[in-house]
Parts: sequence; C-alpha cells; structure tokens
Amino acid sequence: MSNYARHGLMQAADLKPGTPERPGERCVVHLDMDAYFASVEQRDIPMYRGKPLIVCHTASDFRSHGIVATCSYEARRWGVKTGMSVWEARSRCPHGVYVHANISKYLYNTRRIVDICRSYTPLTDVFSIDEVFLDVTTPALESGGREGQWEAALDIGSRLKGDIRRQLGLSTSVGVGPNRLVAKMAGEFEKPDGLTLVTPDQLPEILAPLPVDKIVGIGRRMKRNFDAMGVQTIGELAGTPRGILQRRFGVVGTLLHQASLGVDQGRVGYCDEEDTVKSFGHSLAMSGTTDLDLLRNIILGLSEAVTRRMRRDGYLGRTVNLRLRIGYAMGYSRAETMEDYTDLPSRIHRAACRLLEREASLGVWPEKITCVGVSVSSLKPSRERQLSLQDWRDPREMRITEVQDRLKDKYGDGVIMRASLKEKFALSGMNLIR
Amino acid sequence: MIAEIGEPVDVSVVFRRGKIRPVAFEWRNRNYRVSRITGTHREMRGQFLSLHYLVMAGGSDVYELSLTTDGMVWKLNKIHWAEGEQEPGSRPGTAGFPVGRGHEGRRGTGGGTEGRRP
Repeated sequence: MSNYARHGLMQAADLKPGTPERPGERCVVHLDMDAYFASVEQRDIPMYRGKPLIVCHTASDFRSHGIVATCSYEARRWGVKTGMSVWEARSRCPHGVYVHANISKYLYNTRRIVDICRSYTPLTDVFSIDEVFLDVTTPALESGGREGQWEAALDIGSRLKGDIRRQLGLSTSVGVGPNRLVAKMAGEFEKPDGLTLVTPDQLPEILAPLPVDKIVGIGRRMKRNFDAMGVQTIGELAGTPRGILQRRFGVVGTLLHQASLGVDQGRVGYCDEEDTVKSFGHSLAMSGTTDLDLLRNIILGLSEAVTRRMRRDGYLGRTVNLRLRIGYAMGYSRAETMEDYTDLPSRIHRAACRLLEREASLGVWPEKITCVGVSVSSLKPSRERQLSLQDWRDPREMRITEVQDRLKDKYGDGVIMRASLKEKFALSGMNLIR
Repeated sequence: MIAEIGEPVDVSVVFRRGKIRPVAFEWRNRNYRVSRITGTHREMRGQFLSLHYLVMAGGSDVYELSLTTDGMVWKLNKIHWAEGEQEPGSRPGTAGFPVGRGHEGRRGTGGGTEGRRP
C-alpha cells in the first residue's frame, strides 16, 4: 500500500475517538439486501418465487409510464434492470409478473433490518433503503484481538446475514473492509448471498485490475471522461498524478484519487454537517408527452409533494429546479431563483411552469418528455420566515395549506387533494411515506 | 394476478405475546381458515396505525388483510392468485366454505378450509 493510502487510513482512524490509531484497524461491514423489493414480495407471496418478478413505480397499469424499481434475479436473466422504463421491461420480459412497489412495506422491513444491525453495534449508517454500514471495530477487536480482528469481523458479517435470514426471510450480500468504500466494493464481488472480506493488505492487488466505474460515484458520464484520458482501471487511476485529476475534476479529483487507493475518510455512525438537507425534489416518469397542460398538471402534483415535505421538515426554499428528460437518452434542467423564500406549492408551481414554458417556446425538444422533476434548493429553516407583503395582504393560501397539512397529519396524505390531480394522477401525497 | 378488493371483512384473531394473529376471516359469506401468515407489516396513515397481514387459506392464493385503528375496521385489500385460475370469490366452492354449513370438510378443490370451521 502506498504511503498516501496509509496516511489516509490513519487520518480516518484518528477522527474517531476511542478507535485504534493504527491504519487498517477499522472494520466496516456493508450490508446490501439482494433484489430487496422483489425479495420482500417473493417472501410474502410464495407463488412469485422462482418467477421473473418486476417491482415498478407507476401510478397506473404496467403498460405505459413508470420505471422498474427493482426486479428478481430471474427477471435480470431477461435483461430487465433497475431504472429501466416499464414498457422496455415488458418488451424484454413479457411473461414477467409486474407488481406495484409498496414502499411502506419495504420501509417497515428496513427498520427491522436496522434494528438487527444495531444489536451488533450502535455505529450504523443507513445508506439507502436497502444498504447499511456498520463499524464493527470494537466488537471485532474484543472477540478476535488485533491478530484475529478481520476473521472476527467476517464472523460478525456471517452472523448478521444469518439473523436477517432467520428473522425476516431475506438474503443479503455482505462486504467487510477497512472503510465504507472498500466494504461496499467487497460486497459487490459476490452477489447474491455473498460474504466477502478485503483486508488493507489485499487492497492494491484487488483494486488495481477493476474497471474504474466500480468506484462508487463514477457513472457513465465520468467514465466517458476517463475513457478520454485513457484511464480504464482503478490501478491506472491510482497511477494518474493527483494534480491532473484536480485540474480536470476539481475537488472531486482528489476524492477519486483517494478512492482509487482504497482510502475513504468518511466515518460510520456519525452525522456530518454535510449530511444536512440541501434540496427537496420529486420526479415522475411517463410514457412521453408534449402536452403542456398535462405537464403543468404533473408539475402541480410534484410541487405539492415537494412543498409538503419542506413544510413537514421545516424548510423554506427559493431556487426552483425543473428537470426534463427528452426521449430516453437526453435530460437537462433549468433553474429559477425567486425573490422570496417559500414553502407554498403555488409559488413553486408558477416558477416551474415559467421554466417549462420558456423551454417549450424554444422548440428544441426533438422527442417527447418522458420524465419531469421539480426540486427546490437554496433552503433555510422555516423559523426564519419573513412574511412577504403578498402573504400579509392575502394569507388565504397559507391558511388553506396549514389546514390541509393538519388533515393529512391526522388522516394520511391521500385524505385531501386538488381536484385537478384526482382524475388523472395519484400524485397528491406521492412518495411521502418516509 | 392481483384482484383489488377493498371490502370490509370479519376476522377472527388470536392475541398472543403482544401480537395479533388472524386465524380465520369471512368474505362474501364464506369462511376462510388461515393456514399460514406469509408476511406482516405496519404503517402510519396520519395518526392511525394500519396492520397488514398476508395470509394463505390452504390454497396458493394470498389474501392481504389489514386492520386500521381508524374505526378498528378489518379489510380484505387484495388477493394474489396464480395465473390461469379463476378469480377467487367467483370460484364455486373453492378456498372457503359457506357460513352456516358446519364443518363437513373440504368443499370443492381448493382445499382452503380443511378441518374445522373456526
């Protein structure tokens, strides 16, 4: 391992009070549920077992818009992938079983998984609905000592998998490594139902031959950049001078260079300042339209959903971002910053519609719109609200919104919605169960 | 195949060790004995708690029952049944047995209520 990597690991270890100071002594476990939503459905409904099951996010039938949230391994053999549009999935796997995602059910299972993880260590980070990081340094050292800490960490990973299988009937892939980055990559090596350990000594030989997009955070676009630079593998990335990466990618360049050496200074179980909320957003995939009235209506539903979450979490925002996907390959976004901070749906809706109309008037859409997203950033806490002259003169919307929120808090999000949203879309209150 | 039902049902339950376990339910004048609970979850809808149970009643069909604390109402939300079969509820004499007919054993071919009526 290079000195740089050692230094990075040492720094990471030093950050956590009470943990060993020598590099490579942190033991991080990454838990990833295998085909999570589909596994839950197959567990609950036995007739779906062994069949290509596709779990979709869609507000209607499975013939038009919507995307694949996840699919069983049987469906993956037919080329169905997460994030694919439902119609494409149907064309690849017409005989598959298509079901709606039941997010509240998956969240309930996630909470139980996290409870099991916390029975091993309080240092846990819920990375996503189906991924958890655990810092098991202390229990591994206690049971294995310095010499046997990695075997002990692997044993913890194995027991964790067993507990989840016994209590919840779900299969998991577990990776064990010296930090979050390596643990997550280790978990990817063997799926499904895998258990993989990568120790600091093994890092250079394991990482070097892997393609560069195996690093978390390197997607298609960044991969194209690396292709242009002639960087194909993580080893080649590690050999690229840091200055060049910094010049090309800015701060991200430094992080990528560290990642290529297996260095990740993030800590498990500590909420960093960077984790504070930066924006609220919702999007909706559809089969394709250029009907502006329909798009305005969708944006209204999305604005309702976004502002409901903002009010619930106590934020105001003033930068409205409209994201449009044209066809299935091209997407872009436009933003407008308003004068006042707001959490009212009509203001966000009006700003997003202005952006939409501006884009529509340019006539540059070569294909139909297949996804619309609305997000609000430039946030501040709602306790810092300054009443605008407009709100002071006509506070009706504020009052109506407040009453609506109280009704939704008491009876659930579907209890009241705008009439214009009721007929065509199940948008009001969508995805709010978090 | 999935049938959206959303009808109120009568459910017999057992309370044991702080948990509720449905043992039988009556839907469209037929009784269904729960042979297996395949999944449970709970969710909050506003201030009200909903408990969801996925149960089998002898055959391969899976029934989604829910109890909401808003009015303490049990509902049969959905039925999942194998493709190629007739929709449950419209099948004559399968899965359940008519209320008031005693427990003379299995009716039809579904085999959903073998044994005694709860």
